[in-house]
Amino acid sequence: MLRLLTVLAVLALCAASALALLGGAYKARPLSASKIDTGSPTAKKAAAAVETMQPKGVYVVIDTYRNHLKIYKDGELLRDAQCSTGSGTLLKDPRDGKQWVFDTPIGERVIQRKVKDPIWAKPDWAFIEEGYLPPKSASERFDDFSLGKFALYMGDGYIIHGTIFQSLIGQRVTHGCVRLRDGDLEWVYKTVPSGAKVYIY
Amino acid sequence: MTLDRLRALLGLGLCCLWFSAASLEAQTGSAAGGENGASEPLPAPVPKPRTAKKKPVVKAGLIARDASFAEMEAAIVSGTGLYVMLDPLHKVLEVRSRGLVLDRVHLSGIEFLSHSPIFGGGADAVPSLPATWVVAEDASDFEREVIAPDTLRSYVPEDQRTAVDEARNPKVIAAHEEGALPPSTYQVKLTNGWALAVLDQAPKTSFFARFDEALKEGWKRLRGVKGEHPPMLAVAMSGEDAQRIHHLFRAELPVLIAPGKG
Repeated sequence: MLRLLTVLAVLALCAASALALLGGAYKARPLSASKIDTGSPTAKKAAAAVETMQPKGVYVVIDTYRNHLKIYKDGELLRDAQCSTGSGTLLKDPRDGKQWVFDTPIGERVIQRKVKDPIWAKPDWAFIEEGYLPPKSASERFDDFSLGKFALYMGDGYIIHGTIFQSLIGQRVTHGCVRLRDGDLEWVYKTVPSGAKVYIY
Repeated sequence: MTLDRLRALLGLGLCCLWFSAASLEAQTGSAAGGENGASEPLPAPVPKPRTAKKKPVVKAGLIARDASFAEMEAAIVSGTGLYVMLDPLHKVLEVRSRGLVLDRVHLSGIEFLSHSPIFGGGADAVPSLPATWVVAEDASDFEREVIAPDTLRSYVPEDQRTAVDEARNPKVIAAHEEGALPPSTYQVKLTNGWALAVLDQAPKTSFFARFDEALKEGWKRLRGVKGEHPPMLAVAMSGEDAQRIHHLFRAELPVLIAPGKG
């Protein structure tokens, strides 16, 4: 019995070794750091070029993972507000299979214009999401309460605006826009000028 | 069946035979071998099956050679997108745009990982740093919630809707469990043939961990499943940080790597 067990164990070891030989595995090698060249004339020139690209004056930084909107002026933090960003949900149109992904786009944008008492022209997805066909009459698309009191347009339909769902602020629930509480929205509207940069990550 | 697999199976069979014979011989040698201790000669050692390993190919063009780190960053900041900067000296990963640091993650380790046979060597992939690498594909996506109405009905203005209309609103189809989070360990394919591995712990590279990995891969190969094993730059960080930056790894995201040596 012991002999049989030994033979079986040896066979298993043998088979395992052969299988391991068939495969392979990752081996690690640490990356040893070197100092970044900052002293040479070309490095200084390049660093100066990077410096000039950094935003001046008031700019907005939006963290879509933690749902925070921060306002800076020349690098100094002025306000940190909770916000709501894109839910990441996917909407499918049953008629033609068209899809919309409700993500807040990452990267740099610009405040193109600011509007008080904004009116929202509801796009097709706003109706399809509720199971309705988009209305033929344009007048049925206008909504004068969903965006709140102020709106800061960032292009491609993305807006920083208010909401009637104040309790959902801090969660990823929007269609890609950035929602703020009323008090924060008014402050942002008054502080952030048109042309200000918005960095979304 | 490929020649490789035939050779491997043959090797496996011969190995087993050789080990069984040797084992039986060792146990029964004194009794069965006769008074003078003579025994049957053992079969000649069988060469181990070998699998061909291709040397990782690093495509030229995306790994800059002569430009300094600052020049590389200057080239990136002209665009409006985000980029990721890896600094092995300070062990940080920074999310930047226009040179502005938007987020900073502390790394517990940065290592190169090369795939090689479990026994013996294998060519190490050595990148030239500093370099700007580019993400080729989005990081593995976790499933999204889906809203997919079966049919669309005529529009009813909100103030004219009945309870029946409201009840007919399409429901969100939860593609994942409520509150599902992005993964804390994932790989990002890069355009130069490498991959960036974002890990929530340092890679396990002890002999037993490698043996286990090789065993699993060998089993897969035996079944005809071929895996991809690109050389990788692995960054280890906390699981929470890895989840937080997951959505940033989209195609075309530049990854700027500060100077270092493997």
